[in-house]
Amino acid sequence: MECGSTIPIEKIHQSSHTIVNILRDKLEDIVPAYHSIAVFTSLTIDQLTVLLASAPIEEKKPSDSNDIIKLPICYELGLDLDRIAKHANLSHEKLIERHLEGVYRSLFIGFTPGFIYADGLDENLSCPRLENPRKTIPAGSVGIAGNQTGIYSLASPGGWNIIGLTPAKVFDPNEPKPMLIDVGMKYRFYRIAKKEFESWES
Amino acid sequence: MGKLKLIKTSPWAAIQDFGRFGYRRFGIPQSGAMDREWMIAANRLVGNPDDFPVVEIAMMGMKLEALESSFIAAVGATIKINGEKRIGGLSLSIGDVLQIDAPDHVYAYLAIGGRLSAKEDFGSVSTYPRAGFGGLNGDVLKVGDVLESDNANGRVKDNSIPERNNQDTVIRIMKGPEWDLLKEIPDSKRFEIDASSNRMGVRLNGKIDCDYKEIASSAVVPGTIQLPANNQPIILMSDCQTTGGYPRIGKVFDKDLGKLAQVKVGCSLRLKTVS
Repeated sequence: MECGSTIPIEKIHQSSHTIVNILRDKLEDIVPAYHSIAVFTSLTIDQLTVLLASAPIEEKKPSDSNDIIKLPICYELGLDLDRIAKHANLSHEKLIERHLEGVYRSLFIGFTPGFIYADGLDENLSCPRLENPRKTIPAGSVGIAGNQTGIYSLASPGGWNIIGLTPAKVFDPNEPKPMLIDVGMKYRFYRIAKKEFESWES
Repeated sequence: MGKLKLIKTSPWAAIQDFGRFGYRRFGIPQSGAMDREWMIAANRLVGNPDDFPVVEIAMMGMKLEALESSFIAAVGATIKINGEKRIGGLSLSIGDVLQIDAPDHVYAYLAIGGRLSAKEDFGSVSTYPRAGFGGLNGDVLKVGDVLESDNANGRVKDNSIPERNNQDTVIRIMKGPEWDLLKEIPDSKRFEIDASSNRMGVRLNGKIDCDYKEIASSAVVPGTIQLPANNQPIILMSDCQTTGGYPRIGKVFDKDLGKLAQVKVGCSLRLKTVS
């Protein structure tokens, strides 16, 4: 269903959550995006409309506890730290400081399995995509493209600027809950040194 | 137990089943056989349930050696056992060499009696190499790999094979959310399959006039017809992403996706809007 471009993304997330709760095992899948929610079900449109119309309006979704997940990040492994710093006209340390101040929020997942699109980037840190995308970027790369930010869940090709690398497994296919950060959840970073990164075990 | 070792393989020969469902919310593509009807036909030729994993073959042929007695069938390619051309569901004895020629159309399917063992990720063994899902080790088949099933026997349950054409194939579509951007109905046009088509999408050569505008990324599925700024449609297929930002002008009927997948590069098709 299309939700109109003026609907804030919080509302999309909240409605998705309500739909999951109402349809339960009748829901095959659901894909929230910027201004839409795709519902996969074998119910007819009429049945769906009736069910959703009878839904109580939830003002708060249970998972919205304002918990902020803290992710380790190693900036020394950021392939484009120089480029982003130059573009922002900041020293490395200032850039890192600003990036650490940010609170980011997972908007939706796409591109590759588990790839997180997020908002919350300090607009001074925005940086245009690379002209020549890299053939491969390691999993855990924290990227910036324009004013979008995100985390590469898998090693994959990509044209985003890489500010740092997190050793946290944001996407683990072997876990029953494969995403570390659900859509709608917030996260921020804390800094680790290269040595800690290398010895990281999660 | 059926057991076959790969002696020669094609750049794309990979285990597929019906695909993964219920994980789009994690950005996980559906995957699965590009031509589901032919996958089913192959399974029925060896007496398997319709949804058992098969080997999907594209581009070139392959050669296998039976390490144990096995029951096999292929749909969409000529097969030879020890150099002799054969058809139908076939028993192999230890040491027999099975040769599968390059697909007649685009995809051919090899079924082996019994359930093929493979790695399961998110409820499916369909191979999706980009994320290392399914298949034998999350990858396409390589020389030296061994395919194993839990049954040496099989019997032909049904030997009918749905027809596939290469010229003027008619693909039925329904209108998509951005249909109204179109300035003309695509039905009267003839499109050719572009060489860059793959398991993610079939690109069509031929234009549909449209008031192009980018849309905010939203859900797409196999069968979604996207119309990028160059007005040349892309029909998303099994391995497509879960969201996209191009106008979704229509959707191919699920039943016609197999037919579409089998149209060779340079061959033509027509779209038929059904409301």
